[in-house]
Amino acid sequence: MTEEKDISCILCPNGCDIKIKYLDDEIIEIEGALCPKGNDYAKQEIKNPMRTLTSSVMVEGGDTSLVSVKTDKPVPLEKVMDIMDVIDDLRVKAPVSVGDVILDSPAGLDCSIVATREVKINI
Amino acid sequence: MMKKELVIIGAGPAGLAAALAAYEDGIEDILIIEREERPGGILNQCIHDGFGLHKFKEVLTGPEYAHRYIDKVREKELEIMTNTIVTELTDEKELKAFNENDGILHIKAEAVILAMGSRERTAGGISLPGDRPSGIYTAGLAQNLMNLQNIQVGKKIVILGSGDIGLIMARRLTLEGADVKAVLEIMPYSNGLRRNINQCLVDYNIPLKLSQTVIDVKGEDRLESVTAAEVDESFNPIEGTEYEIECDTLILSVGLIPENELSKKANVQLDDTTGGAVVKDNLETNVDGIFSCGNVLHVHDLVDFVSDEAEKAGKAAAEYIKKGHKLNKDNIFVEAGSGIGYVIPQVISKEKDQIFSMRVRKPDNEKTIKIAADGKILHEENFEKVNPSEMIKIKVSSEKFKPLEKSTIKVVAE
Amino acid sequence: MKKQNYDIAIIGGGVVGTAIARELSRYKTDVLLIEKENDVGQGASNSNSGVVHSGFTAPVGSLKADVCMYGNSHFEEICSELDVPYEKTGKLVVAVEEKQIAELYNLQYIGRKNGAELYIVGEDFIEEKEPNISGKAAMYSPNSAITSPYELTIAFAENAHQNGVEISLNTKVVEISKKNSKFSVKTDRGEILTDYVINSAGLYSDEIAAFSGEDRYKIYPCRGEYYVLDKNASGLMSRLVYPVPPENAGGLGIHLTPTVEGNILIGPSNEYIDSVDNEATTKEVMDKLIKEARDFLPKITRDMVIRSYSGIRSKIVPPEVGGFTDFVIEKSPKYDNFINLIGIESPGLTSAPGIAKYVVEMIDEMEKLREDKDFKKTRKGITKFYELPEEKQKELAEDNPNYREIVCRCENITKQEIIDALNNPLGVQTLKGVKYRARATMGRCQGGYCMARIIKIMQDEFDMDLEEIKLEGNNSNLFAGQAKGWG
Ligand SMILES: Cc1cc2nc3c(=O)[nH]c(=O)nc-3n(C[C@H](O)[C@H](O)[C@H](O)COP(=O)(O)OP(=O)(O)OC[C@H]3O[C@@H](n4cnc5c(N)ncnc54)[C@H](O)[C@@H]3O)c2cc1C
Ligand SMILES: Cc1cc2nc3c(=O)[nH]c(=O)nc-3n(C[C@H](O)[C@H](O)[C@H](O)COP(=O)(O)OP(=O)(O)OC[C@H]3O[C@@H](n4cnc5c(N)ncnc54)[C@H](O)[C@@H]3O)c2cc1C
Ligand code: SF4
Repeated sequence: MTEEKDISCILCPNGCDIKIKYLDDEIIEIEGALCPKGNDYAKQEIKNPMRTLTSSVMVEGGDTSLVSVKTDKPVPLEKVMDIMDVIDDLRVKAPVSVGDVILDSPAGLDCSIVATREVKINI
Repeated sequence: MMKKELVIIGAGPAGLAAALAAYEDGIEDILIIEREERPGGILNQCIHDGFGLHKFKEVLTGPEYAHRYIDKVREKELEIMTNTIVTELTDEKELKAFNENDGILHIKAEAVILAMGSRERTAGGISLPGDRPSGIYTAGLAQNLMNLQNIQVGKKIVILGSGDIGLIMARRLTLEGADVKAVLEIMPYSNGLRRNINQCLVDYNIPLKLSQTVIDVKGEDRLESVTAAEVDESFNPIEGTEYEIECDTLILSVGLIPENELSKKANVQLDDTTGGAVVKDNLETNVDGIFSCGNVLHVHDLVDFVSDEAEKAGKAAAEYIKKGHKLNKDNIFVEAGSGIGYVIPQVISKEKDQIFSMRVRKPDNEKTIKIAADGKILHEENFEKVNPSEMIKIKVSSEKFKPLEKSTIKVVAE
Repeated sequence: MKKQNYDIAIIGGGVVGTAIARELSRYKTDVLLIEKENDVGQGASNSNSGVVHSGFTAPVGSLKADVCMYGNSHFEEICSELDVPYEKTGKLVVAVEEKQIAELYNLQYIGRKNGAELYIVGEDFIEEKEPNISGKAAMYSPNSAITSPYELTIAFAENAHQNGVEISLNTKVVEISKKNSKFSVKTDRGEILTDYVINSAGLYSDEIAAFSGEDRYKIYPCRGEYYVLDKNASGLMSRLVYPVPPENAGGLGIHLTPTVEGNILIGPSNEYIDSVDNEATTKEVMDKLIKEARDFLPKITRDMVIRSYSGIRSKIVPPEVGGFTDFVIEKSPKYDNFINLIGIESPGLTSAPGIAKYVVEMIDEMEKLREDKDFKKTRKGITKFYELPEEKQKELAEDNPNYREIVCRCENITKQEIIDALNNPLGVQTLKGVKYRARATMGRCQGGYCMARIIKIMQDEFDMDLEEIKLEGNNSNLFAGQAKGWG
């Protein structure tokens, strides 16, 4: 049976409302996106929603106790909590620069945890 | 007394972009004053992504967006004085500030750019009834505590207000192991960006309860529960709809207020609807040589627009300094008409192309925004959907203003 | 409690109990003040209007009139000894309608008999002194003043402590019995013996009185809710502005009160409630406050409000009777050396110095008290940096970097003031303790900016654990713990 879903695109602030009709994995109709990225996004959403995870990791010896981080590419939404478990007790040493890789393949996923801010050494 | 050509108060995205723009236009004697330990403003605590799509065509996190500007400011060797709080400002552009190295500082500037950002509306500000236990936080404070100080405010959470900060915090708290029971919104629609509702609430099965509010707070020492209820069109609780939610924390995301205490001291005229200064098209306030941009002027949902606006203020301040404080006198007033919450700038000159920033009063579909004067429509633009949470920008060329005689332009949504 | 035996035990660390403690510390006696909360002034004494009344509402010849008049004429001196803010603002009792004018003359008549200085003034006077206030005529009381009720209570306690009174916070009296010639006072933290008991337990004074065989009085809690307006509104008026008191209401009517911090209070309401602990605020009353305040000050708007709170009056007149009665300050029917203070409602703050003197005289009559030559009548509060002239600010900032860091941006409070507040002699280390001592978190952002900084000072300078940091009461922990890395 064909299914129908309303999906709001999260890729940009336009937040287009996309209507998608599909049968299993096959797309029958898709409309509402202002740009092609939205169509790809909607297709991905019905298959396996992907998200960029942002969080923070503890720092030792830094001018602040946390460094903010993100996954360098979107990861399956259902795996987000697995990554959170991995980074909960993780500690890195200062200094940290924006873009530094903090951890490779967390929870066995194909992505890295990278720093999104800089942390200087506390003097 | 220290002398500076340009002093910028606040090193958030607005202050940083304004400084760079003024520098580009030839001003080198610039001082940016920031009360926090590091520049970046509120972005330092906004560790989620969703910044920079307009400006950099990339999705960045708040700290990354800030970093791009901080890097440039460092490269140009512009002076940022951090850990320094400005406590006084006069209409003569004299400032008093405090910091650890200098103690009390007095600075005289030729031009000042106000870029102090905003503060949050509090429980008192919305007359939250009931007990006053611990466990009630504004969303931005909870965000600051969690993302900068590694503090978890509570475990069982109710969020009042579905503004972006509240939505972002719903997800953030969930990720850190808290149980977010519901987000309550008194309006029949959310004030947050749609993408945030999706990726912060829907993704984590957090219910969004529209047309509901908190009517009672219980807890002798720490919060124990809140009573929620549905509201009618005039926002009064509907009897019989009350229900109690057990929780130890109530997060308030009920709006930001431009931080204009200093502006008031300098006799800057404020607009009642925006809470920010009344500005001309070059973002100059009624006080000569004092400019305003970013959240201190009006609350923005997108930092990219903050940067754009700040660049304009930076350029205007540079022009003011270079032209020996003589700028064109503006003469046309701009008014928000029916359906429009506010429009910025409030005063324009006929000579320049204008970009009007505005918010509609309520969400709607198929709206036309009309800019009219002298009984004629100067410009109109159609929108498939409009939402108060999303700022609308409309560009109008100076050609349209030139023939004008009357001194007021009205903007309406029909 | 450090000892087994005391000469005098005071129950209750409100403004009255602490004023008595300070008054007793002039003499050579061993005094213990017992307070169930973790700071002094947690009852009515921190949630009232802060008005130093001039005594025109108390019945002529009453004890209330006496102690109030004493308080009014000594307040300025006491506040200057104890470094507590005091401002003689004067008061206008405003008749908004012609027909209330007669009542003004009535008030003036009673007040003058009590010894208060009072004038009836016309519309011109109101117009000139308070241009934003609307009224047909008013009674003007030049001697009405304002103070900071919490700072005063803290100051009384600190001065008493400095002069040898022991203050035991977090200690609740659960039972009192006669043991030979002494009283045994049982608390949740042990038992002490004492020759005298002074019951100054506010809302619980009837329960404590019961231990002395006094059962004639019952406390009927009566709540007063308030709104606090932003400092921005302070330009709207500079004197106390009261309505003509509503008949038999048991309150003075919703009035406008400038505070020493520069805010304006609207309130208090007047509602009898069931529970003595219910300090909640309600939507109905808050709506009413704004409405009634606009009767005299139409320029007030809702967005000026930064906070609401409530305080509870210890009334001994039941709701069906209403109105006021005199303060009860008596030896108990069974024991002379058990003194009960019951029904100390408004103007209990103003009257605290007079009440203290009266109670000490009662004891002195029974047992000649010997003066303590070492008594120090002055106490120094926390230096309020931003109120100093710039020269002085520079001097302080020169020597101490903690004066160069502003922690609370609304009230311009420095890091040193926060540290001073946390170092207070009573050892109180809650966030509210800091608020009442240093005024931090009191401003329009209500801690949005400074709270994170105060927490950091508590952690860095005082080694407090996150889990240990409290807002006010003992179970009012602020945080669940660390966000990261506490598993
Ligand atoms: C929680 C939150 C989430 C957001 N999410 C997004 C998003 O996903 N995408 C997006 O594009 N936008 C987002 N925004 C909006 C955007 O971040 C803001 O509009 C922008 O940061 C405002 O910039 P600003 O420079 O005007 O103010 P701020 O960033 O607030 O900076 C003001 C600076 O001035 C300083 N200052 C203030 N007073 C003084 C003084 N007296 N002396 C010295 N310094 C002073 C402050 O310390 C601060 O650093 C979000 C905003 C918030 C609050
Ligand atoms: C709304 C309102 C407005 C007012 N406005 C004014 C005004 O403007 N001017 C004025 O002069 N007066 C005013 N008053 C009156 C004044 O606030 C009170 O009279 C005064 O604070 C009473 O002080 P107290 O020490 O007797 O009581 P409280 O401050 O209530 O102190 C009693 C203390 O006893 C403690 N206690 C109770 N039981 C025990 C126990 N078992 N063991 C140990 N400790 C115990 C309590 O914790 C409390 O701290 C007002 C009162 C209210 C409620
Ligand atoms: S579809 Fe394109 S334009 Fe629409 S929200 Fe998605 S990315 Fe933005």
